[in-house]
Amino acid sequence: MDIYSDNDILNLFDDDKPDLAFSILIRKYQKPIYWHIRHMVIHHEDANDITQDTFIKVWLNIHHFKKEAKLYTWLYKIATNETISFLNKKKRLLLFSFDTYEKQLSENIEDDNYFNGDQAQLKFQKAILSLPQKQRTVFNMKYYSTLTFEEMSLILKTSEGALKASYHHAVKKIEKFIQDN
Amino acid sequence: MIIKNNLYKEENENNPFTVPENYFDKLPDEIISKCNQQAKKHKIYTLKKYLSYAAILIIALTSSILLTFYLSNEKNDMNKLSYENLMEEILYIADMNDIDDNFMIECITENKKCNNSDDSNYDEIIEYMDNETANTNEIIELIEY
Repeated sequence: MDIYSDNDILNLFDDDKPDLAFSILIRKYQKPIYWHIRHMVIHHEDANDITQDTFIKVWLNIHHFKKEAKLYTWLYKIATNETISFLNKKKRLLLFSFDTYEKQLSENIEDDNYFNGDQAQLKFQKAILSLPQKQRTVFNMKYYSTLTFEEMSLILKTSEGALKASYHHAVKKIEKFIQDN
Repeated sequence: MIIKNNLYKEENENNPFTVPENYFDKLPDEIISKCNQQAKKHKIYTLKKYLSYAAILIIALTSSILLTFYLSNEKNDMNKLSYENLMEEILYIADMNDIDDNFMIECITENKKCNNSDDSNYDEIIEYMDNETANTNEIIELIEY
């Protein structure tokens, strides 16, 4: 599957083979996109829904994609926007609650059927969930997806300097959280 | 490419999350099936959108045609009405001045005939109307009409 470059996939779309192109595109990117979303929303069911919505958007809008942009940057951008919209909706539902959505996630993380981390990993996830949303996004993209700041800058439309600062603050806060707990 | 290297990131030892068995084997088919449903919905939505545009256009066209037709009829009615009022006024003037009604109407409506006529009454009528009626211009217009 990896023999298909992004250009190969886009050429298949141009060659009037959209079904084949899209099938290859999903198989190539489903895992990075799913994990990028999953680390933000924690629950598998939510991540599954957002991943599917992301690829549906890709399918409906692939003809708007400009070839001068990078395909994976575009995919990450859609996935990130979908995830942030989802989190904002959840936050709006808890507007009059004392708990934040992240706090609820943090408290329920060990009950998730699809979490099999040890105590250290649980504490680490709780530390990540204590971060403000933007720092959490930057930290996850750097730590789990190992994207470069340049790539993240294209996806999040933020300067590399600001992203580096966010990541630095996130690391410091996580260290402090782990020390304090 | 970095992304390509991270395709199997869930196997990363740092990742404490898991997925249901064979999840990634089934996911592409699920997505494609949903995309087909969405594409159908999208087509129906687009069709509905174009139909609603067409309906609006038809309503606008019909309304403008009806409005034009109505206004043109109304104008005709008004012309008809002013013509009738004018004729009544002319007949009244003729009656008051002992002028033959038929002759007067003939003069007004069949201008050419009157113009060629040697009847001296014609000049008298025109002169009288010029002096006595407020609607001289209308009468002249009618004559020209």
